[in-house]
Amino acid sequence: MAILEVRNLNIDYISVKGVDYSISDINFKLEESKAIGIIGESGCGKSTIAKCILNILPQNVYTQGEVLLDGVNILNISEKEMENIRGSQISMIFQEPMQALNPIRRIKNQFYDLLYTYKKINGKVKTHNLIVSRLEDVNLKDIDKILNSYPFELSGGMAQRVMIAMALIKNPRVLIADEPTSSIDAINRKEILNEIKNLKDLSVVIISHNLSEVYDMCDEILVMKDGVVVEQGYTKDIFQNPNHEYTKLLLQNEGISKKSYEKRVSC
Amino acid sequence: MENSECLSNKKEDNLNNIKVNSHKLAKINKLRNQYRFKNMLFIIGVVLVTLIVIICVGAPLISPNDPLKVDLGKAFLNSTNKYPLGTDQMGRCILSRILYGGRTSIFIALLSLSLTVTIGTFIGILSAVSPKIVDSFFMGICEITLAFPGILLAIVIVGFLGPSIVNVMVAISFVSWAKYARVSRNLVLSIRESGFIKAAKVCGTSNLNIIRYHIIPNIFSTILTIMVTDIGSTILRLATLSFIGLGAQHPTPEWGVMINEAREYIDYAPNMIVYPIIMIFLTVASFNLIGDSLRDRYDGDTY
Repeated sequence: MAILEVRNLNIDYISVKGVDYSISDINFKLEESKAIGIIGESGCGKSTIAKCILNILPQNVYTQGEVLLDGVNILNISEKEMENIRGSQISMIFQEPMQALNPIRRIKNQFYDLLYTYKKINGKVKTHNLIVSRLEDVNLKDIDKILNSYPFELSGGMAQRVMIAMALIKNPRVLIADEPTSSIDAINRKEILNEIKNLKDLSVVIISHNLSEVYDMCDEILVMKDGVVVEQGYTKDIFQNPNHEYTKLLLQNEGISKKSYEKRVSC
Repeated sequence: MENSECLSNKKEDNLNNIKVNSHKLAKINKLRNQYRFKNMLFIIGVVLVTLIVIICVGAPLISPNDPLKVDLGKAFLNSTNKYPLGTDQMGRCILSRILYGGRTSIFIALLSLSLTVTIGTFIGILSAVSPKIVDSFFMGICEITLAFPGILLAIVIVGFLGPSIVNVMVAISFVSWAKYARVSRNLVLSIRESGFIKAAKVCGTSNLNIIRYHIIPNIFSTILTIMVTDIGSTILRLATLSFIGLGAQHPTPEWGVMINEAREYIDYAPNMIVYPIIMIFLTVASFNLIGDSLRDRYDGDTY
């Protein structure tokens, strides 16, 4: 059974004028240890879907449909129950790592805040070991120094790695990565994507405006435009036989042809 | 070796290793002078406040006489060795009364201010995180409170409760909590939308912990700055209420009370009124100096 299933999801941004913007009819299934990519231009509603899954949308949004986690609809459950799902079942990383860390608290303390209950039960030493092991998982070196520094002392790549470690510290089963590499240079981008890819037993939803980023990571792809999914299917099929004009345009603009895709997959 | 030397030079004067033309240098020097001046004001404020607090806290050790001891035979003395600032109409030592009065003034001001800030910030945070109806309710009360001139409302409240120092404290807190509630509510509303709160939320921090670890530390510096700026005006308010007879009552040494008593003898014994006024002026000014410098620092004002 799929871990996460989105069924007929409709999201409307409403205001006094009426409906400002709507995202309609989103359907996808995320299987265990698989990855799904959501691709589209800026403002087409990719991040909104992610926020809707985690129930952190603003109040002027009207949602319809179902988001099933292990067959249970999590769209209508209480905030208290949602608190238990965030972090320990579904977690998310944002596009701006610098903004996603509290500027006035040391990294160490931000981890401790997150593990408040865990620390109470298991003590400080065990908590510290857990944090260190998670930071090692994302290939960070000089961990003591990082733990004692403030966010502004870290580079973008380091901060994003810290964010990934934070998102994964409670062992979630689903990770939503909302343009995780958009503010990071090319070399770090590749490394971070590889790190996300290599995380075991984790189902990933990757949101991106960059086709080449999800190229060899995702098993399935949704291409979105203006709040509608224009094309959906296995990565291979979409790259080899794009049906919709918009997908063709995307592939063309990024210089990805059928040939280059086959070459890349084969090596 | 060379490198470390270079670094140490940089520490002393970071202009040494950089070529600057005279234009730039003039500008840099101007900025530096401004910075030094503001820093100097801050230091003056801190030194004055420290001195005042020390002499007031240590009043029982320093003061030459009992501030409450009446000796009508020694009324209206000029400064002597035993009474350095002279005596008042009842023969009480003015210096001792000023020292003990400072204790009351500063202590009550700080106490009522902390009460104000605690209540105001609590209500502000509460209304920012509550549903809209609770929010509008609290903000409505805030607006009603802010609509009245503070000191007038305080007079009315003390009039109802009866004149005493505790009631003055309650009245001052009641008229000034609204400012803190509004400021902290707005700060919370703007911080709540920032990335790190969302990130903390999706990583599984509970709402209570988000308030405790992310929101309060982030609004703390702003609230503290406003609080320090407000110490001066709170002391003034307290003295005002005591001056019109609603605060500290007659034998208690308090600056406002002393000015009130000395008012009748202003021609005959001006020293009675001058010294408490100087003390109030110095205290308020030095707290304001600290508050202004703190505000400059935390508001990101470039020197």
